[in-house]
Amino acid sequence: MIIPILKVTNLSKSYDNIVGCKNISMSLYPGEVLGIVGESGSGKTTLINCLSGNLEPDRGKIIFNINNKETDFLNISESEKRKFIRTDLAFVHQNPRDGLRLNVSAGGNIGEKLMSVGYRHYGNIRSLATKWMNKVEIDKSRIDDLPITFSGGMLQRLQIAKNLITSPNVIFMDEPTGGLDVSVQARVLDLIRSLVNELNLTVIIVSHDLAVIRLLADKMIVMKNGTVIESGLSDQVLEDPQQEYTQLLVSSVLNV
Amino acid sequence: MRKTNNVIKIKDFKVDKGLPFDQEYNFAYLDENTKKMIRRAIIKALCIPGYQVPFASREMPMPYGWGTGGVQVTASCLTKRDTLKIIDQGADDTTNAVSIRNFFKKTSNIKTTEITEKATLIQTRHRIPETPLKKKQIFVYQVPIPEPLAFLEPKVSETIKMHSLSEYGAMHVKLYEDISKNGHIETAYAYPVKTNDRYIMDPSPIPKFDNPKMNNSPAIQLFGAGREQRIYAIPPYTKVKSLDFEDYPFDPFKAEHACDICGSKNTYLDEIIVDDAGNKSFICSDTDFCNKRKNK
Amino acid sequence: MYVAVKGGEKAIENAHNWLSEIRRGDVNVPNLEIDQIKEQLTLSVERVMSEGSLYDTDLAALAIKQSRGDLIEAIFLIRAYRTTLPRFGTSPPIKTEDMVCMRRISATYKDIPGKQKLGPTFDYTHRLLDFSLLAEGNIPKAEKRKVLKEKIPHVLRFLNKEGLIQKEKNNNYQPKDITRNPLEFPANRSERLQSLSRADEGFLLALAYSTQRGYARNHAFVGELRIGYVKVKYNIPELDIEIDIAEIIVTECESVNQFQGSKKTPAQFTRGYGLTFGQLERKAVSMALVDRALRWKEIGEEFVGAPAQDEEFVLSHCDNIQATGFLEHLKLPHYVDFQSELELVRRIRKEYEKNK
Repeated sequence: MIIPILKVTNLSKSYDNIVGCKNISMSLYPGEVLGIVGESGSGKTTLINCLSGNLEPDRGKIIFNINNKETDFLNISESEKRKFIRTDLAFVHQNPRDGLRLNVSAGGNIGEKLMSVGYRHYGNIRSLATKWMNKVEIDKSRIDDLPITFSGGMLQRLQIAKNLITSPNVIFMDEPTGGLDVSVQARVLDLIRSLVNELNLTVIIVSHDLAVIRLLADKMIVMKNGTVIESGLSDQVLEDPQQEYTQLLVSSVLNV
Repeated sequence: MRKTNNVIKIKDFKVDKGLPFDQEYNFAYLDENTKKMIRRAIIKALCIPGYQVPFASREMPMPYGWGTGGVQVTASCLTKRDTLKIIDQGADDTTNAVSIRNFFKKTSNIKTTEITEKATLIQTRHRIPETPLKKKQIFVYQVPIPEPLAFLEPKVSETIKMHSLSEYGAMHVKLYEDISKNGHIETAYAYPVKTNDRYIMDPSPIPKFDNPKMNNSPAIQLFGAGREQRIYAIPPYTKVKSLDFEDYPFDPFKAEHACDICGSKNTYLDEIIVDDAGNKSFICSDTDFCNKRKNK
Repeated sequence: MYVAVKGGEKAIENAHNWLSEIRRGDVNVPNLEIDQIKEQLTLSVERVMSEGSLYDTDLAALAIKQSRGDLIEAIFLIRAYRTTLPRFGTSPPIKTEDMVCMRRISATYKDIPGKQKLGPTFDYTHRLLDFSLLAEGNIPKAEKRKVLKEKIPHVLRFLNKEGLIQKEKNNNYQPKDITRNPLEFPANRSERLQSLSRADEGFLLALAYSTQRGYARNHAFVGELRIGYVKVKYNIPELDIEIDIAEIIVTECESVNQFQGSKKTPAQFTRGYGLTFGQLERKAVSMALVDRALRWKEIGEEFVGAPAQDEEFVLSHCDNIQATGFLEHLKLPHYVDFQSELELVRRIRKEYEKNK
């Protein structure tokens, strides 16, 4: 039997009586890509922030099971939690500026995660950083350049490299192509897809763009007013949506 | 305007009574309750090597930034049997060292010395003496900025979290950047260390040449930062490691010269410009050590 | 052979003697009396008491004389002296509603119970040099009135009655003395106000001004500014009686700030508070504006990254004694650190030349 790498039970979070997300339960299996869709205010960002440790939910359970080791995410000490986030999780922000240090070179940015988990060999850090720059299609001659000299698409690819270099077990992506020009979206999306396939990544991706979900996600959930209204295999949900709201989404009637 | 009364009528001005001002103060200036509060902070600091203990720093009669933290720590540790040595930049005779020594002479009538071995308590600014410190000596550093992460993150509320969770990755990023830019770690003084394998600590602005002297020292090392209200410590025989990379090990370099007075080749040197042509001379920054060698 | 410069001791003594001489100036001019400073430079004395956080006009005047009129230096002298004073106890809060006002104005209401009272102010004076002061001319007599017996109510009470202004809740918090406890962040409002009350006037003024110009703009009105005499009471524990131990001059400012409401709070007026020793209007009003800007979180306002909103920034840099000490320490010898930088720059350059 395959054990889910992440199991969420009855997760709720509200802000001053405004519902963020309510009674969310779901499972994610190793190597799966889960897409979360919904219009803005539907709770998808609240959910991903709770799961990745950026927000403290009010109620519910989040259990990670990594290499047969169970972690009760909401019931461990702050230091254990931060360590877990550092070593086992990764978060790709919509705006790469939120996930990078703009006054630190590209190599330093990619290397930071390695150093934070204990790498202390400059040469090794540098060669790994070079390798990853290669993987995300950034010329390795740019390794000592500051991110401010990079284009939007390059910044996003740099952020992806920074996040993936330590081989995290679960990767969260919040609208990873949302802030990019349409012309560069395709390239970044393509890169994510090939990395997912090559490295067999486990990913939760939030997007309002159904094309992104169609391309990347194995499974998807649809959120509305803080709750999950429909879930299933992406192909199934997209081809044959059951809920009226999902039907509207799929037929692009709703502008999400 | 109406006359106002004062909150607490302070005893009439002492100057009017012709009393010398300094006899007005307690031994070593600070009152005993304040010393007790500071000693508590020191003990806590010794129990958690490298951890910065907040303390209610007092306003001292010398400016913040001129050694008020060190002076408060010294004043709290000082007993009448102590022999005190004060150095600034390694020397006993620089203006600030003279000024602080006079302050303690005036307020405590304590024995002072310039000879490192004879001192039971040494207060320093920016140097560790060349003569190795020994058991039962207390060595007090003056610290301007106690937070080694301050230059990465100015907010104390954030750096406190980084320390408590050992989130020190960013510190190595700084060293990484130095090497990738210059092939060197650029920090030449106040070079960060890890104490007892736990806390990253600022050793005060001593040259990195002095860093190895902190490791496994038999003396008690205390650090006082008055303006920033922090005390931290290294208990005797504690591991103190300068941060580095395996392939770029810590390098405590110094000027490649010998002292022009005593001929010492392995001491930290001051560079002095001797004439208008810009000719230079190098002499030991530790004046006591240099004198002893010269007179041998 | 070269011998390093010695004689720090002698240099210090000579310098200090020279300082004393120059402080006295021309001995043919009469020596400045403490009473003269106290009576004629009252606003300097009051600033020194406020930022020195010690209410004693004699000591403040002495400090001003000793510091050659450098007020930050005078504040420093007072602070250092204050450290050595024993602490007998803590007085209950002063009651500014019982203040005998010499000045009391409101910019929000034309007429208010207790009336507007202009008092001794520079406001509406024409800033023309008065050359008659050169000759110590006649002083115009100010008209005298009886002190009003009845209390003068705080203006903001009226807005409070209507529920139009943010309510201040009593949280029964026992304030911590920031001169006896280390300031830690996040601080609460009590510690914030203590810090601001002894903060540098110029720093507060600049911050308050920045909020007016749009850096965390908070649309302030001076709801009330009152200056006057309040009694300081003290409860003698052994006898369990409360006595008046002093009467001091304070300046109090309550600002009224427009607020459009947030998710947390409906639209209402909000407040900022300023209180200082002495007649320091500029500082009290500045303090109220800065206090208000720092309250963004409590009100549910947005943090726009303005300096006046950043508690750690404001409180860590508002103390002029800390600031001046650290700034002036740059004058101390730094031979050792500089030497290590010199060596480093040389090494880096050498390598650069080699690789060229």
